[in-house]
Amino acid sequence: MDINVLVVKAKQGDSEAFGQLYDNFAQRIFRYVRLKVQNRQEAEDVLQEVFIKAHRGLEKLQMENLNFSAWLYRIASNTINDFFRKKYRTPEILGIDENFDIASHVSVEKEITIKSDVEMVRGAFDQLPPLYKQVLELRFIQEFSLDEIAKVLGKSNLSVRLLQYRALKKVQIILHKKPL
Amino acid sequence: MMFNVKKFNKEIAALAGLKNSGDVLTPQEQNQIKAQILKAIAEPAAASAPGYFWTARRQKIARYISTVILGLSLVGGTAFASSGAAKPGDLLYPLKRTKEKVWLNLAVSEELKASLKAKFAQERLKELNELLIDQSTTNDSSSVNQASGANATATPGHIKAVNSGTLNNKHLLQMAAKQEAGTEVSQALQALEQVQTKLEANGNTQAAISVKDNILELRGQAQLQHVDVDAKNSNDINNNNAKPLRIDHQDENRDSGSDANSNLIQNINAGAESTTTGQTGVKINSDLEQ
Repeated sequence: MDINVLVVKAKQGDSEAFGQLYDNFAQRIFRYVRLKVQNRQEAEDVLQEVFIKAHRGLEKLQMENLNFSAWLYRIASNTINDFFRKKYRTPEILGIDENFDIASHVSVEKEITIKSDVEMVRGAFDQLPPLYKQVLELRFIQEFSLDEIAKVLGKSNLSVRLLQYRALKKVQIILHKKPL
Repeated sequence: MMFNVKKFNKEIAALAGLKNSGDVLTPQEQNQIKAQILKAIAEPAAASAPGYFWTARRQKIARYISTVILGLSLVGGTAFASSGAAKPGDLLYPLKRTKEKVWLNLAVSEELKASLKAKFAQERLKELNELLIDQSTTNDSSSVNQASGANATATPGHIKAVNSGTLNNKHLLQMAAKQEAGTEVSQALQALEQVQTKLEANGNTQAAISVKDNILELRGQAQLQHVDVDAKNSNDINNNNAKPLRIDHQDENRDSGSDANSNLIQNINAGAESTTTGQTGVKINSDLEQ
């Protein structure tokens, strides 16, 4: 069933329709949450919170030009930030670290047994700062537009483009050691 | 073009290949979380369907405010600490009540809430006692009946009115305090009875007996103060004959100590024999102790 139809039904209180929305997005949102929340159990809790918040927000959700997916990712972003705020009682420092030192992390060579290109890219992806991972996940895996990502992350279009460029550059540097 | 990503085509293509990799939820996990979500969204909807979001938000704000007040009471101390001895009509009395609400709000378990309610109910009784002492020492000759009429009702709102100086009437203040005490004692008894039932159901007999003792003690204290409680909670003490509000102006001789409840359990019986209070009525007389 079309997502927007499910949203309309869910707005009208149809919990089954909301359940179907969950089925459609749970894996993707979980992936997204896991980019920043390392602990799996905590990530599951955050995922649950995202959908509970989404359900509460449905009432005020405008259907006109609705991009439910982007809206949901936006909730996920906020929930992740709330999670860290509660956990550390301080605003999270987003991971834009220009001097990010790959060598200081677990080395790609040691961590990953390179059996395929996908695994190697996954290895490189995992080495990125969380914010870079978010941008790449949304842009090239979930195929969001730059504007949509800007809305999800609460940043300007230009910031997202800059982040995207830097993230890709970082991936390239990591993969340069193990070319595709 | 700024930030052109064309030169990263190879990396972009590789990243797109990650779509089906990475950490995923097992179907079992996914269904488990789904069940929890559907349960969570069903519960508040049943409680208060249309205004849930706003209610939750208000509760959140209330919690923040409560936390700030609690912080002030713990750290600052002065005014909040002084408010502990305040009684109805005092400037700091509203602060004292706010503190109590904060504690209740912060109590997480049913048992702790019940215990706090009982403590605060006892505090109301103590305040009432102090008001009566005040009256007797100032030798105020006007009667409550004159002040409010034989069938007048006093509401908690009167406390505010008296606090703000619009009604400078000690008798009315007493009536309001008595009614307030009655309400809080009833609520505390109800909460304690629920805890007792729960403990009995769990087979925790010893703890249930202990709670029952507390219930009896609180009832006894209320009885000594002639404070009426709900019929549900006073069945085994009172006859529950509904009586109109009547406050006799003969309180001077009553036992005025706040610790006068040391022989509470024994006094319950005496009180039950000598006093009959109604479901809606409030009766103050000095006969009980005599």
